[in-house]
Amino acid sequence: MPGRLTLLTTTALTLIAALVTPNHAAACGNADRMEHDDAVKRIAQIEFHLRYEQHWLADQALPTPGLGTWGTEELEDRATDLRYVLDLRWKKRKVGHAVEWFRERPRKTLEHRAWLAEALVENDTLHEARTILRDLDKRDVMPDGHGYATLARITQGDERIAALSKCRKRAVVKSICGAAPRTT
Amino acid sequence: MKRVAILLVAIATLGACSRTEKWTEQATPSEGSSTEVTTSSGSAVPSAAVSSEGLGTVARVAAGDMIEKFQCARCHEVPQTGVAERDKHCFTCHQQIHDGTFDAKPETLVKWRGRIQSLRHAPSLAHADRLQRAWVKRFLLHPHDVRPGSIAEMPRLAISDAEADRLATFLVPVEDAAPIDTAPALVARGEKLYRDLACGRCHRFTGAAVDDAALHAGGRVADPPPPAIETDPARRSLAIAWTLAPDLRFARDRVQPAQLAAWIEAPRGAMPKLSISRDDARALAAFLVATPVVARSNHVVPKRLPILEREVPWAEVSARVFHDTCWHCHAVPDFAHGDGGPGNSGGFGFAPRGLDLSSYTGISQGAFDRGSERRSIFEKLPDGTPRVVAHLMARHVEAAGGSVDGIRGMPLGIPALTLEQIQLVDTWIAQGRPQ
Repeated sequence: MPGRLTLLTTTALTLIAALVTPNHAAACGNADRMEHDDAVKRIAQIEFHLRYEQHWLADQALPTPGLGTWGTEELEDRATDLRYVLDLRWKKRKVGHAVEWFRERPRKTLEHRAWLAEALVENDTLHEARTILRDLDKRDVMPDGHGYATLARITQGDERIAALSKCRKRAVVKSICGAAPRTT
Repeated sequence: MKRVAILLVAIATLGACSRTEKWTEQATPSEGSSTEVTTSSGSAVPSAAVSSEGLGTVARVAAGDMIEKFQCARCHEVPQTGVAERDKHCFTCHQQIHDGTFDAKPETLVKWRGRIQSLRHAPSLAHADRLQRAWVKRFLLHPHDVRPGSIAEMPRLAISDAEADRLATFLVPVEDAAPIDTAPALVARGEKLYRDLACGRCHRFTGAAVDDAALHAGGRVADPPPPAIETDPARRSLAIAWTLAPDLRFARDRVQPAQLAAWIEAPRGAMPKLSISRDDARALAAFLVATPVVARSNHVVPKRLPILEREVPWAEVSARVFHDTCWHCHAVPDFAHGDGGPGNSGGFGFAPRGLDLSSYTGISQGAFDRGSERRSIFEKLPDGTPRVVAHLMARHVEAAGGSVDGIRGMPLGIPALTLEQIQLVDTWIAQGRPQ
């Protein structure tokens, strides 16, 4: 009987694996989706608002996470990212949840590491945030000006000056580089 | 319970079988793995030296795996292989956009039609068996521009010598090395036929006295736009024939001599049928292989332009370079069900590099190196050139017939970016990559 159960379990898992394989993917990247996939267009628009620090507009376009309105798991996760980033930057809320999400999120990129560092700073976990951002800076793979703005907030002296300089170069809205320092 | 288990196994097996048609990463023989096959007599011989009769089942499967590994069916019609699904195919979407059958608003289709000039038509590999196996192998290892009418070229794959050998043997299982008659009188008659039939309207024959670039340019047949495309199939066939017509300077090394006349008499694929006699086909073949061809002068690799003094913002470099060209293969996986194109999620035998060139944050995060660590694409090489610029310049070296060790030319399979485009990238990097 245990043998049968193992066989059944294995078979069922194999069957599920066969069924969940995506059957549709874009070879040509997303050129056409950016033009006529409403969910993708909407996500891109929210990212645009965040890039330009248009928090209210981004908030209006973002529904509550977990409602499953984006069509795919990837877009759902991306929308959740944006919700947490917006909460961090605008309302400074749900910091603990953001830390947890960016730590555990599937399919992490370096942008998620930078966002994790942002959340860690708001969560007063400066040492870990510093470690993450210094690593990204050293390898020259910092995603954008926000990472340098955050690094400038938690460092001092020449390191802070260098981070501020890079922030002013790479941020869309330069005023983010002047955020108040955090030290412990 | 037993019946349920059997049923589930059967369904799972069917599911697994059907999935082999999709483009999942397949296990392939490792580089340098056995290139020997066992003949029916049981002796081991190098795969390139045997005919199709000598290829055992195992060897055929191994060669077929090369087709899967390098995803030849994403561009070509391949014998014994299913066509890649539309969204994995490099040409189908473009063709549908030009045909007016792609699922998008009419005004969007009109906009795209104006932009999409490359990746429209690719030659079928069903007719590759007429080629010389050694040429096919060389071409796989060192691809170059063979078809002057086509913007797209064969991409430079990450293919080993042994893999190229196996793939060439798969495509050209049998060779006939018998020479053809090239008596001067036959060659002269072939030249007259070449001129009388106006072969130069579709073909270049660079280096030969008959080559006429102006005649070739004037012979171009544009694809008819919709709805004419539905009512004028002949014009479309001519458009495809012009696009895919090879430069005939390569014919003597590229096509098996004995196959050349047969092909001219009864072409398959894109070439139109000429309705000529067997003797005329032989004369044309003799002319193609025997007429003198001037050696190609060495192309000069252009030099990088100096850094601009004016500021180059991200918006400009993105619009004119990254979004214009690179984005199509280096895209955002999240926006396309996890597939960010071959330059991001992998494809054509390349491992996933995770390189997203669609946005500032994407490009800033670099790409996976051979390990699991991301590396900046702006890192300076020993001569001070940023890595991404080195890849763009390497494409110019490849266009001139060379290659750069360890640096693959980009963009892959289409012409090099202009020096002015590369100058924008270079300047933007030198200025600290302002956004």
